[in-house]
Amino acid sequence: MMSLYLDDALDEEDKIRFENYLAENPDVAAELRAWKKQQQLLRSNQGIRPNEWFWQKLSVRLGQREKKAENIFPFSKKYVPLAAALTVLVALLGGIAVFQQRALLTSFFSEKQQQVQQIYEGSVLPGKLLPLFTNLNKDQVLQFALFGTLPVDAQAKTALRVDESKEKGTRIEFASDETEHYPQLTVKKFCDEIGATSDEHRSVDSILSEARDKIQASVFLGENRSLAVHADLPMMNRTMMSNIAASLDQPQRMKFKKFLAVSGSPYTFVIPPSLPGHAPAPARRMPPHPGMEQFVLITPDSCTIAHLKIDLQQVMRSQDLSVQEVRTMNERAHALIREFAQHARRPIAPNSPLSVFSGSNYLSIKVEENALEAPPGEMPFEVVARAPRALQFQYEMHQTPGMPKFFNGDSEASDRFFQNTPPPGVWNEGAPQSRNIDLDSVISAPRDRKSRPHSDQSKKRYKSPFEL
Amino acid sequence: MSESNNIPRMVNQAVIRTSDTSLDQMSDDVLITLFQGGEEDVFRILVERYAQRVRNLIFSIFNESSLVDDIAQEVFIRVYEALPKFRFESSFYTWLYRITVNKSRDELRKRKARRFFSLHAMLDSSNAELQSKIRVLPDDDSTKELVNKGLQELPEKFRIPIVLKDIDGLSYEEMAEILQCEVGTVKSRLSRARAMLRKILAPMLDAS
Repeated sequence: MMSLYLDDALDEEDKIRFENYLAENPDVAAELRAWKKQQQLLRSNQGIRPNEWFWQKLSVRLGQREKKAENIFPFSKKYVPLAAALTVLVALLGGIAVFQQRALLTSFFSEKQQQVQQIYEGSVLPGKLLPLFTNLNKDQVLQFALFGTLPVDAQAKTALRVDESKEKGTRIEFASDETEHYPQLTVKKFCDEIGATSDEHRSVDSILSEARDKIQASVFLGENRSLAVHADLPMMNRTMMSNIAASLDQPQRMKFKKFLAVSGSPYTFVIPPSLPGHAPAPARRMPPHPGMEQFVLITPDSCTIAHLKIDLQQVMRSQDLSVQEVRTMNERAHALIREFAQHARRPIAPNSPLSVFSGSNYLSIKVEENALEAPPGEMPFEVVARAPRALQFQYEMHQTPGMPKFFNGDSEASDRFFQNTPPPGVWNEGAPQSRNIDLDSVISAPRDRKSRPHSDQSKKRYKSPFEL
Repeated sequence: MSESNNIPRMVNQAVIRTSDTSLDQMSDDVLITLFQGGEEDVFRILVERYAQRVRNLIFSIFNESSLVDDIAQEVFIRVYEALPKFRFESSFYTWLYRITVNKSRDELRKRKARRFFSLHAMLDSSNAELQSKIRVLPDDDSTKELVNKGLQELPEKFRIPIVLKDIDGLSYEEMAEILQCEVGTVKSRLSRARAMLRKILAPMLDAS
């Protein structure tokens, strides 16, 4: 009765009866006052502080969930058992039919095989294509996100460096590996440093995994001496950094920002003023790679931007390479880069959006702003260069007033450089869409150059930026 | 909340969605209809509209801020999954609260084996200094904190009704819908819950 009275849920008659009872029983009246006070205290509970990043974190989890739950079938999952049964039945019937007609089929395929062989041998696309980065781990991807540098080959001490900004356009560089100047990070160490929760750790892992897949599908070495770098790669590090920032809570985000400063990262990100209702854009998806894609193509005597269609599934099947195979591939890549760097001392073609710089130990390609297709969407947090530590490329560091710049139009012209024809070994629009990838011939192909002497430098101990 | 319950499900979305800027003003039912029609972007508006209420409810049940966002995210993921099948038989927020309460119950079950901070134990403790700290006229904030801790001492069956009524201010009917029981059961549990909480808090409230 007292509870109903407190909630004003008694009818008029019961209410009067109860109030009379209270008047006659001061102990009960005192108890009612205590209940009221208790209720007031509960009502005055102001709840938990709002979390302005709640939607960002939820959208990351929804994204992960959708990826897991993605239905690869063109029908509802509940029909999978039925579809499986039908598939088995069709396969069985097909098998019986094939067995009965085996003589006819053998002769048909033998004829077709000869035709395919003739086409292949006469094709302009006899090369093979291999991904330059295989088996990247998340620590390397994190290093790339924070410092914009990815070692091509630890032995050769060469790194791929990329950057894309409004101020300087898109830049791609193969140069001496400078990653040893940065702290040797692991994802766990990084998460510990910024005090990431287990949920945030998972988010960071997910961002790095997605990026790793994209990076591995972004740089290819053609057997016929060509190197293709996906146009999206130069902005991937900034996108990753921005997405990591968006996945963190505000205290961890501030620690992340401090971590970037202390660890000497050339980047930082901008946290917008915290206005009511303001939230950063949702995490930018890593650009997908379907169909025709834009690549920067390098051959010993050309550099161009082209739309290519690469059969990633087929290429990725060849990713499971042995250590020796990877080493051979890296040697070939290095040889190609060095050869290109030597040929690169040629003038730039008129109106080309590319500028190429080279030296004894580097090759830099600068692509004018807007020459490449911009990825969709905006980054949740704008990532900017940190003065004075902004990521500098070799040509910028070497470009002193007394040093002539390559491709500045003051040397002999070349009609081969910056040609628009993609080199053999990769497909362009209108080219045949399938071919064989013969790993054996790539791996057993003669080496262009000997690899650099093995340098087994022990890695510097990572000193935490927060260590005192 | 339920003023647009009569909107036909097959309503022309072009008519509903006059412009993006008016999405914030749309009722829950219209947003859900849009969502069910494939416009999943409107889910963000529903989340932003209710996230704080869901977080507060979870915080009241657990009094642990570290748990709140994890459980709240699970609630909204569940809502996202189930929203295509939402049949408008109850209001959205009642349905959302039911999911929140069910998720919280699941979490409470998982944590059942653990030992919690026990106010009873603290009050029965022989540590006179600790007892005097509690009993000597606690200030307003610490009183609220102790009330919250006292709330955690109640079994889940009694804690959730008192949170829904005295903190969230829901009606008996709404509570019955959320807790999936009769109104009479709600009244009886609430009365018992208040009496139990009173018993737990008596030493402090009487002292102050």
